[in-house]
Amino acid sequence: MSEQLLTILKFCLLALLYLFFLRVLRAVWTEINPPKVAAETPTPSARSGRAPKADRARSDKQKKAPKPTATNKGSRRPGGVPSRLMIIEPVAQAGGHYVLGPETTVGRSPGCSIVLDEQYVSQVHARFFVRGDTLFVEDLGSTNGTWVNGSRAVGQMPVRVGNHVQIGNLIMEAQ
Amino acid sequence: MTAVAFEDPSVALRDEARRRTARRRRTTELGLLILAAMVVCGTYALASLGRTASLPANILWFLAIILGLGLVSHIAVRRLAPLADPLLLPLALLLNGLGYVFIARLNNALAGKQAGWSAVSVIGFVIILVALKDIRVLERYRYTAGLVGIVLLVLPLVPVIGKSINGSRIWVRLGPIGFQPGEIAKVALAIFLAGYLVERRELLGVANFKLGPMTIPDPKHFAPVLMAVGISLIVVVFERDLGSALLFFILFLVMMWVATGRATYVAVGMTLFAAAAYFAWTAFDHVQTRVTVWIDPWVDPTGKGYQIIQATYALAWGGLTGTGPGLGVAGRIPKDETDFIFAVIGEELGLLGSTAIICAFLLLAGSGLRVSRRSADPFMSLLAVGLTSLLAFQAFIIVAGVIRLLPLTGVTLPFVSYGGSSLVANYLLLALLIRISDQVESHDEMPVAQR
Repeated sequence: MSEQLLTILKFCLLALLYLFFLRVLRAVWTEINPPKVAAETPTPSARSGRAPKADRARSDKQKKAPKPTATNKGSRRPGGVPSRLMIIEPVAQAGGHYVLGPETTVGRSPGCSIVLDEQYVSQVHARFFVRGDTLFVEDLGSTNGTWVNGSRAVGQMPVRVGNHVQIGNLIMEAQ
Repeated sequence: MTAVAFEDPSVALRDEARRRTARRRRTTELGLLILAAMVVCGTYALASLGRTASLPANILWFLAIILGLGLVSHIAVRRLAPLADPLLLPLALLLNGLGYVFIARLNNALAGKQAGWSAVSVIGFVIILVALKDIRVLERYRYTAGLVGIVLLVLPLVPVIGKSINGSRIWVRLGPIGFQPGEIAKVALAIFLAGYLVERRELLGVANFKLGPMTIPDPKHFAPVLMAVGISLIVVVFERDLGSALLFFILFLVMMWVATGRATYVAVGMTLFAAAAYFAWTAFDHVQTRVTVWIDPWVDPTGKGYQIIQATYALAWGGLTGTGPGLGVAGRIPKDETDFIFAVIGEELGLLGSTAIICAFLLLAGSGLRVSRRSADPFMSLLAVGLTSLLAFQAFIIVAGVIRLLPLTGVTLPFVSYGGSSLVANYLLLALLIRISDQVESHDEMPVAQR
């Protein structure tokens, strides 16, 4: 009798042990697919981490930099010089954009005009510049390269409106 | 020069989302902790029922202490790392608790000590979370960490304080307390490797040095890494601690591979390892013994093969669901509360119970790697990989040794085995992982929704 009871209790214990693991698996599942409410988080401002204060400070310093607004999108001529890079991937950051000046450096180093603190971006990764009425990109010896429309940029490579530029994990469309 | 212009983030919305995530994770964690405490208490009660046919007198105290330890660490995480992964702590507590139950069942004298060490570990865990607000601080101290690691490794070889127990000289005895500094050294070494490899990652990835027909990265970048690992391996070989030597080597390979993304390192490492293993086999008789006993324990069933044969019997006797806690043949395996605790669990909880232990380690490893994947900062990412692989491979090495998949190399089963140094070191490791996990989620540069 007592032995049977112990056996039953043992099974209960094992069941409890696996109940624990079921709960763990459920927790893993929730982590991978967060509940709907979490989806309302401000995904477009994925790069929101960049403290807005710093943004403001920077734009104060450079008032002459063209202010990006959603409205100037329509006025853009299709054949003109691209003036900004719109993020396509990662999806989390899609919609954000960087404004290009006549000469723009991109990299992980804080000295760059566009600072991308990402794993696959080199310290000083690439530079965009305008010659005449064409925007060029030049890879500055980065580890993982700069890619224009899927091919690795060698030397100075023209970037036209609608072209895709990839730096690290970031894919951006020239506009 | 131009401005970086992103649509102004709605900081309030983001903070609200984070608060919600934090709340969800901590609730999950608390639920899992309570469930884990119930499992551990159930096992404890059942082990006592099986052995003496009565509930242990101190069951309520036991429950209170388990829940207390869980709650202290939970509150610490809730306050200090609210966004951390919710699985790490409950899994560790479950392993620690189950380990304790089986230690108490095997050897009551050791159980008290293990309980004390668990408390010390949880205190250490909280101290790390309090003191280390930014894991990247460790990146600055990478060389210090490397030095500390090597000093800790050499410590047992120092004549007066070093002690040789069971043929391995890995102990340091200071007054009444003895500990194995090598356990802490492995964490220090992981910090060093992560910091150093991130610093030189770009250089190590570029092959520009001609060596005969091959083009390899300039060897001068490797020098410090090879030195650190070489010293550790030499020291560990002198201390006759094969398990740790293997663990350090695996750590080194994994981190090199992850940092550079070049499988060549793994191939070269494996070749070196095969050569070293062959050399060790011919040169040291204790290595030879291990291999002989692994291939056929029956060559010396009452001597060198005794331990492994008894472990096999224990596992076989356990069958699918085990004999029940407290009902196995206790004390038949030498060193059953440290290296062979897995066989005891296999005997008393059967295949299902031992699989649960392995599942716990798999889930810990999965969580650790997920933390690493989500990190945008290369140092944090690499450190998370290193710490996770330390935990996972240590469990693998000893479980594989017990079930005769690999030759036995004595290391502890993390969180489960008896051993103060191991427990403290593993809780320390866990605290670092939890800190990284929290920082990954709340890190300002981190894309919030990237998965």
